[in-house]
Amino acid sequence: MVFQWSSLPLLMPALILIGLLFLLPIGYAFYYAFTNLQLAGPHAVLYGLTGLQNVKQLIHDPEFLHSIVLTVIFIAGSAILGQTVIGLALALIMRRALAAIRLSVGAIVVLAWVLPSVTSAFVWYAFAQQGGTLGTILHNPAGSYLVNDAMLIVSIANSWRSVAFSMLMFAAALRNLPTEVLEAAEVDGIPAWRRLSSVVIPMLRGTIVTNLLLVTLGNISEFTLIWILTRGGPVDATTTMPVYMYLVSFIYDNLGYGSMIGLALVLLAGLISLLYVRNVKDRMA
Amino acid sequence: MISATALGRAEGKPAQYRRFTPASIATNLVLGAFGVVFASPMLWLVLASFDQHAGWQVKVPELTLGNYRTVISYNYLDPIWNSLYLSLVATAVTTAVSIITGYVLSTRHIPLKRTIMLSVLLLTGIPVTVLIVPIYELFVQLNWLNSIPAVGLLMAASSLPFGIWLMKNYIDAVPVEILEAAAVDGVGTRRTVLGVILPATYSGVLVTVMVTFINAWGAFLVPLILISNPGSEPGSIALYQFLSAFVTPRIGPLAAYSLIFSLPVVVLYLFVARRLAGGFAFGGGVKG
Amino acid sequence: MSLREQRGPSEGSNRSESERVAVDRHVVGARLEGITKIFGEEMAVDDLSLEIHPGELLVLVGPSGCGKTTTLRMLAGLERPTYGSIFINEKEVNRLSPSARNVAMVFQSYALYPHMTVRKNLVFALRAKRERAGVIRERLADVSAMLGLEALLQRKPSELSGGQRQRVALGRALMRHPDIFLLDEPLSNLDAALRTQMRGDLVTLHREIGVTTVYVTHDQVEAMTMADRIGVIMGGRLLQVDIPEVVYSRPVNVSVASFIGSPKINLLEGTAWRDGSKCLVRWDDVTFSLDDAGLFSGENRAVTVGIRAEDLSWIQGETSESGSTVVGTVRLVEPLGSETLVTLDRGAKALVARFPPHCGVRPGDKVAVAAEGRHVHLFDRETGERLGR
Repeated sequence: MVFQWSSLPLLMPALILIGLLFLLPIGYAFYYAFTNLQLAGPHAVLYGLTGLQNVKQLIHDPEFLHSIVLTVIFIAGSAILGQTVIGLALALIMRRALAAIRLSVGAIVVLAWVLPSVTSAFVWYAFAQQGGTLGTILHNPAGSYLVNDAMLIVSIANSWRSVAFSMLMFAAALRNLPTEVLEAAEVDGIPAWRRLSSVVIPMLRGTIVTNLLLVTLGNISEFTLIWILTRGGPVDATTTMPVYMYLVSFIYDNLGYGSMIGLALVLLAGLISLLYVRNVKDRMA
Repeated sequence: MISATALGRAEGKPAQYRRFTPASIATNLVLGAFGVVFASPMLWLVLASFDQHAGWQVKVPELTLGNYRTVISYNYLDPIWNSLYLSLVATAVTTAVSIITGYVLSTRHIPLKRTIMLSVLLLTGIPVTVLIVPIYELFVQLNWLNSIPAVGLLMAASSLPFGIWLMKNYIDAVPVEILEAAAVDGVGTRRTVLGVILPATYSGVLVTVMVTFINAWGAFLVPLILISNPGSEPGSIALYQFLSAFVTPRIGPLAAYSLIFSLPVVVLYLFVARRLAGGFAFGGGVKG
Repeated sequence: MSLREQRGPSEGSNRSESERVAVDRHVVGARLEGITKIFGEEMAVDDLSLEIHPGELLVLVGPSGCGKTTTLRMLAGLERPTYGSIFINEKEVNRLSPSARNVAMVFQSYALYPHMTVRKNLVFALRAKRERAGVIRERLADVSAMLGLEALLQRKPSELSGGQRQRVALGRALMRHPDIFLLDEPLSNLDAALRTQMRGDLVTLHREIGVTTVYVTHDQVEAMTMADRIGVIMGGRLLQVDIPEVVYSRPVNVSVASFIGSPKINLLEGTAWRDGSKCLVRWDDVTFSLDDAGLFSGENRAVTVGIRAEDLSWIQGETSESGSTVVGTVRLVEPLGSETLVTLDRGAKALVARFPPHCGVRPGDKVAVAAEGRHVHLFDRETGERLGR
């Protein structure tokens, strides 16, 4: 098999776009992270490498460490619990529901996913507001959930918005399970709950892992929802890593240090993505 | 033969022994309740948009079209056209480049193809938001700030890895005999792609279009940073600005605005979903 | 390796594994009464009534899509009959879920739990029922020994060959000591050699353990060689149920006659009438004389004549037609070693006959064959029903 040179111009658009707008920024991320670049101010134009200063700042920055903790909580609550677990539960429950209910609830869940993130943020802003519908449902109309339970609300809102993805993924996986194995378990006298825990879920293991990785990847960089709902507040109650990066870079004008935070995020995302790729490779083999 | 219904007996369903067991009633009730609570934020949006005195709560609206009239007046809808411009640029570029690149990767011999594909897959996991700082600097240097087409290109680049991965997998599934027949018939690359590949990978194209469009339409942080010119901002930023502009925002018109802003992607999704009867194929990289 | 070879010499105890497996079981029968299954517009099973004798190996055989698997699944409880009742051990089980029926099923695809080792596959059902550990261990030892699974216990299904998986599926069913064993085309995914060997092994197993077994297949050779009784199902109806010899030699209608027996029975369209104490049948210009009058009443009858290949004897040296001898031109000669199948054309019709092994007949030869009246099957041309004895 020979490499046709005519292939090259056809690949150029992709190479240029990804190279310029994806790979180059990744490279720059490594560069700027070690500078004292500013958004405005003396170092906006004249800036230079500052060695490991930004790294030291990062390690000793309580805000940054706090943002890591919040990001982990966010992922645990919104990604793992809110999306994978609930998505799986939904897919399982909907299997046994009446068609009318399954289709309508499914449509509602997917609709929440399709809405632009700004809209989702807006409706949750209203929902969790003092005097919003959440307060009515919980019989606490004066409740100020965005203030008192900011992280919780933000996690739930993000789950609300994204659970459809996991639900669809698990629904497809469940449909692809070999029916005869499940029938064999039934004929063998295995009770329903045991069939679920010992046969269905183990057979879904691959999908569960893939889903966890993808969902974590999606959540780790979530900015829009959190910013519009709480601006990272109150104070810094919901300042996850992406929010902190934004604050540092574009509110405190410290692009260099912000880059460093961003770099941490890029590496983290890269690592999880690497795990995902390995997972896909193993499952395709 | 006597008909089943004439004798009034319920038809057997596989392994379901009584139609209405307590467990199944409970399941349906719980699911239904879940659905209702889940829908309430969206319900609020619709109701508030038609409400003369909309509050933060779901309540019976004092019906009016006034909110919509307010929104349509002035040039409040301009940002939504900006969104359309931006999303169309992104979608057109991503779709076209994904198809061509997927075609080349699928049908031609490329050295290190497996590594390239896995790298592409790796890139699909890196969201553009974490790269916003270096991208900002890049845009400053290229003098691309405030340029909608430039941001469109950026969104295209960020959706490209997914598009390439998806299209390559779809094109892989096209039987090689069809492509060979076209080659033997002397059909050139362009014709092959347009006349053979496109129809055969219709679903993949639709998914690429939909995902790219929805991503670009909903983009927030990227335009927030890269577009600061009033008048050039897309709908997502406009909505945000309206929300944060006043201490007590005008909820009714805001709701109407959100609804209008959300409509195009919802319509697109419904359109594509109907045509993809079997739901989404997650690019072949994710098998259940 | 056959089961026997794999098993090796019996271990120390004075009873064989299979005897131990068999002894604490009482043998039950089952009954299907007026079973009908309708899927939407389609009637898959039509008013099927069947008695399953305790301890027998009953084979349900028929072409694909005839409803035999549906019937089996209704016995298992995986489908619920639209009408009719199913009794297992004299108890009506229509309302019972599969888990409550104490039947075991071996699926065509084996349906092993892919993420469990062979050992776990075998013990899973008993563990779920909280059976005592000692009992589980004992049964596991017996079943593994019986089916030659000891070496495979730690492997996963993906690491096993088709034949090995099939034995695990069998073992899984055996572990439960079910009242009834249901097997859905268990051999169809195996290669031909393995299939032939497993046929024998399954029959041996059944004889040793004695569980009532219902076996579904589309392969009539399997049915003929394995069954205590055969049930022929076509188009959702049970056409005939009897011991293999009877189904073969006295098929109840044309469909059964065509389906059972390889090569397929020769079918000729003719007319029959009575002549004194004999019944004469005319096809083309050949007349067979059958010995009995009681075959049908009334005047001439349009009939379908059925003659099996082995009932057409070669009249060597004969070249002209007379009485019930026909002469045809040889079209195809298939030497099978123990015999030769010869297809000959007579006019528009092709007949298949069994010739002796080294007959020396070649395509193009003119040969004469004849059938004795007592070997001729008569069926009403319209209804296809068997006439007479």
